[in-house]
Amino acid sequence: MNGEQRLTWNPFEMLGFWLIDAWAAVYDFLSLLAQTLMATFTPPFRFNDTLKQFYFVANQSVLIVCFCVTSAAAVTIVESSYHMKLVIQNDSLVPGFAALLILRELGSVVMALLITSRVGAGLAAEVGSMQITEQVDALKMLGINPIRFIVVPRFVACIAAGVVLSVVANLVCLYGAMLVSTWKLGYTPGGFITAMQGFVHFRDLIFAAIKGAAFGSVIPLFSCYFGFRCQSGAEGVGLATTNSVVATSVSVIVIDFCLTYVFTNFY
Amino acid sequence: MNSNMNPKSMISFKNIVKRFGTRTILKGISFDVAEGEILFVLGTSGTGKSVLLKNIVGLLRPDEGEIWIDGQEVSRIPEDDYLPVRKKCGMVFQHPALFDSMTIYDNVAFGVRRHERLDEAAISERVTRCLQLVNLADVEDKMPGQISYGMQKRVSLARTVAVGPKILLFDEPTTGLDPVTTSAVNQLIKDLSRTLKTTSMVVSHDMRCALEIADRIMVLDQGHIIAQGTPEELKQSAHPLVRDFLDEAVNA
Repeated sequence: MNGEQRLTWNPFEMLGFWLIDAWAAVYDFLSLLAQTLMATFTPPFRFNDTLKQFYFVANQSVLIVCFCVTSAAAVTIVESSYHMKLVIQNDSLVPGFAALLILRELGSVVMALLITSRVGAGLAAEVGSMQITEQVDALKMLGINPIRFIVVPRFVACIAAGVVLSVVANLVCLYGAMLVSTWKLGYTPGGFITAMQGFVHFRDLIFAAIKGAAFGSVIPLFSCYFGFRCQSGAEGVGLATTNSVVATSVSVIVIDFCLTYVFTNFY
Repeated sequence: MNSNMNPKSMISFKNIVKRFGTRTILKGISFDVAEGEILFVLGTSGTGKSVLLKNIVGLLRPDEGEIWIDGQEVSRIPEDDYLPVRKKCGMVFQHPALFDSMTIYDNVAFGVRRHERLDEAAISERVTRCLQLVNLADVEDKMPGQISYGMQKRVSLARTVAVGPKILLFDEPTTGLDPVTTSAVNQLIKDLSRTLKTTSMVVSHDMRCALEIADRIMVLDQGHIIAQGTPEELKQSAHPLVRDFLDEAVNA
């Protein structure tokens, strides 16, 4: 809104103002994306900062991600077994369907949503605080491009961490599913893997890694976008954080649909 | 170089208009700041003083008019070309704006490392000298959160002068400080400007301090310059807002 008041009850004017603001927001986001990509592939590169961010995003998230996806896997196994027994009177297809669900959706999407709330929210608050305490302006005054300094290391780190965490989350998730199947449904580990192999292939893990990279890329972009637009005060930082989590979560779901649609051509 | 420009002007505004949406903040501002001069810009809150400073260094861009910095017109140049202009200007922000994740030493050394190829011994010597300029010692290893707000403001000043700017811009440097620290910071501004021979522009509410250390004072109201001149000239002004500022300075 650029700070000015627009008091009108004319629906056409309201629609017009909304369209102007929406276009400005989209333009700003695309501009941030373009500048980030440009800075990512041109020197100077900030290897140390990128490694620090990778440690924060990947290493410090791996336990919580593994715990959550394993819990999700356990629920998946128990639920699918119960419903399969109801419908087709046996649960022989559980390992295959569970593996399909885990590798194609659950592992990478649950990982992305967890990283959004753990890393994305913190990043939006951090950048928002830097914005309102004029640290971003101070960077510019010292001749530092804030996008190169703040966004790019996190962008690269989140993409790399997205790939690694997605693969780890999927493997741990499958392992958890196997344990629950062994304990609850009476499968042997070998029987579970054999049953699973009829449904999923190595390429599914590759597609999950690609999804992880795509999800990882949007987290810092939305967080920094809302952080840079942060208005003054604690309320402004809170709003930037909320908006970034909502926008990232929605974009993860939308990107998931688009990539799944594309990947179905390769199954 | 513009041949019409006063060759001694370090900063020159020509009919600058700045709008935010439908609100016009600066309504055709024109003034010059001579080399080595200390100019105070006074005005009530929300009158566009900080916007004025941010236009000088390109953190905001004017909608109309021209801005000349050290002989170069800068109001329309691309963001990437602004870097050499910003290197000439050091800005002390309203907030200390220190980088939270770095020590005081790294904060002060940050710009030096970025712009000059010096070994660590030379950087260390520069950092210590700049901290001494603002009367700080033994704080290099501390984090910004471990020192007081007044000290953070002085570190911010040290970080700004560390890169050797020709122009120093201060955005309400004494806001939120106690009277003793306010007096110390004001004295620092004067000493730094004289010692480093910089051109200084200070945005402030503090008429008493302006009368003490400014070479020239400019008063803004509603996006217009309503009075400007030397401290002695301003004392003769009959404008009600200027009188209010002067009365408050006398009472203080």
